[in-house]
Amino acid sequence: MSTPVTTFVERASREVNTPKVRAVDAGARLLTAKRLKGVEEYPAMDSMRDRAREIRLHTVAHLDTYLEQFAEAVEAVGGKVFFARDADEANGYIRRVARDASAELIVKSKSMVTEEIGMNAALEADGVQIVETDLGEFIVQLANERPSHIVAPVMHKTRQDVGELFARELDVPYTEDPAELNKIARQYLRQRFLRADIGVSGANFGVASTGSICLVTNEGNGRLTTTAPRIHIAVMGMERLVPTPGDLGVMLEILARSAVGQRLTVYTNVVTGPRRPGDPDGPDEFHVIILDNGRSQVLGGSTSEILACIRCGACLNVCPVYREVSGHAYSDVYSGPMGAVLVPSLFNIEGNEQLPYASTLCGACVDVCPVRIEIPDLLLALRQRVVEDGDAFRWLGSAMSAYKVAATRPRAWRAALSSGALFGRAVRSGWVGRLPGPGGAWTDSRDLQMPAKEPFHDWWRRNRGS
Amino acid sequence: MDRDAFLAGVRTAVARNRVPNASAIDPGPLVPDLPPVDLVAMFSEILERVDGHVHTGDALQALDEVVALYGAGPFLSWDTDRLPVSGAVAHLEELGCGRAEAEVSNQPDARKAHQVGYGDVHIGLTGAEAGFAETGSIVLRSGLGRPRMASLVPLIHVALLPAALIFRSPMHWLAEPETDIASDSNVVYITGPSRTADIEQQLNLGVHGPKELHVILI
Ligand code: SF4
Repeated sequence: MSTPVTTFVERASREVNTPKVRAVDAGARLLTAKRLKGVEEYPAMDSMRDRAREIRLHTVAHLDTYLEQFAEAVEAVGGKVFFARDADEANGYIRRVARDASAELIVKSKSMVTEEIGMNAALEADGVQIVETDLGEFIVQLANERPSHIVAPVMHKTRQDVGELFARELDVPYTEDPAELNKIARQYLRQRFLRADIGVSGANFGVASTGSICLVTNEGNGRLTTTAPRIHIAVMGMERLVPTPGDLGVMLEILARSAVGQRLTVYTNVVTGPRRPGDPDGPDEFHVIILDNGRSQVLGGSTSEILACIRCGACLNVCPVYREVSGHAYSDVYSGPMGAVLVPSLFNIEGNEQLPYASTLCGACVDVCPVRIEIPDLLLALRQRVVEDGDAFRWLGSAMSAYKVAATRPRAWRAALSSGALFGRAVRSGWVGRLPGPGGAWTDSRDLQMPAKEPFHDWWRRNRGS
Repeated sequence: MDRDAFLAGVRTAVARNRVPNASAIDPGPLVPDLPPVDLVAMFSEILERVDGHVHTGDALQALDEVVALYGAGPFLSWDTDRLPVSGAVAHLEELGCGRAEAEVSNQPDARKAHQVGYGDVHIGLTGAEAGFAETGSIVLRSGLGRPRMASLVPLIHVALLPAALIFRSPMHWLAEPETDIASDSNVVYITGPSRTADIEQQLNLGVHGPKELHVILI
């Protein structure tokens, strides 16, 4: 998934101004409004964000220690730990477990990291059936598409789209009533849960001191995935740890509020090892795959702060670029500002060199990020990397000197942009049309320094939540 | 990959890491000093806001109400000695509900055959070890006599919670010295019935977990 065959600009150009993208924009605005309400009713939000940032940065800075502690704790409660350098190793391990169990059916709860490693395709090649169980992911899987949002995967689809899809793929009468569609999915998926051989989940957090993993879902598919099948495999990016249960508590205070404005997700599920003697149910086997897949490279580089991300999706919802092009314009499951940093950092910058430019550097993402990740700074660091890699930069043409200056003097660049000029202009004038195409020069570069007619924050306040 | 080699790689990366503020975590108190509130009232209000229902008063009578609302049917339950109301299981049986076997085999085929039968489970009866007033949540712990499925597969989940176990917030509960989230294989916070807003952000209840959540305060 790391080397897209098309560029961001090409994909974005297909998306912009389509009904699909308008649906994503509306959805993102709604989520932003919900977040705002959730944050307003929670006076401790700002101090919790500070604390959460400290916890995440501290964990990342001592990741070797916490990983070792976590692995020992998982094993102490009877779980198995596998360290995977890359996607192939992770998939290879899952395939071995599946083969040993003669597994035919795997249920999966929503997990970005299994998308990252292309797990479904790897397992399907062995003849194992994989069923996505998050309603949105299930719809995406049936439609053979990709999620357009990390929290709300089918934000781009209307109820009619889903009705037609279910009628076609599940052989049910057409309905566009969300309650009916919901019921159809419940019935279809329920029997698969109860018969599945293996449940594969991600992990929102791992707790180093106890070896627990925490999974949050509103639907309950996370709980079913980790309870019904005899074998549970959790795939976890290696940076997803927190040191203690108290630290997990801090994360939970801010995660659901930032994502959708909820005080807590409906099911906050903490799993510590397999079923124990006396437990009437639960999985007999518990495996954790700890995945590097480029993360140690990120950790040692200039964008390591992105490893603090807790995948709440808030930065997507406020991003003027994301909202104009949807998650489908990005080259991986990770989209929006977070994805624009993570994907070129994790994988090669080659093939992803446009992503660091898929941003107006307006800073809306930092304002909402629960762990206050300085995304614009990280994007600038990546731009610098693109600049230094002359070859990868040909597509920008000759008008890049402005960027070269900017990329090496980030503070001046941000100051120039803090007026929000680009944001307002971009939105009103159709931002994508002015993006540099692979064959063209960056003829509009002077626009970047034009002063704002209306400062960004004013514009934002006027428009948000509407 | 070999663990030592993996960790050695991480160690090298950590040594090069330039993340800001990466020192030790501020150990200051996480539980703010707040003016006291009526925890039961707050719990009830917030739980109802997330589409749960709260019953106070006689627990067995509350069970009558639940069965009158949704009808009788097969139920999965925690064992009587794990519930704060000793007559609850027997009472549901008297109301015409049949208790389903909750012990799942460790033989793969027997396990599947057993679980497929959970398709008709109508009611789940559980206890709860804590409640959170600020979030309207209840905490359930797996273990002997406490099947996880009882709060997961039925359409209607009924939880018996002693009102004295309601804490102000999850952080307050975690700050208690006796709280241990890892001493059993599963601890779950449940905040209202199962919900989704995946299709056009329209709220729908009961997508995978229970559609109704009734908390009976003891
Ligand atoms: S970068 Fe921050 S706002 Fe964006 S998904 Fe990650 S934690 Fe959320």
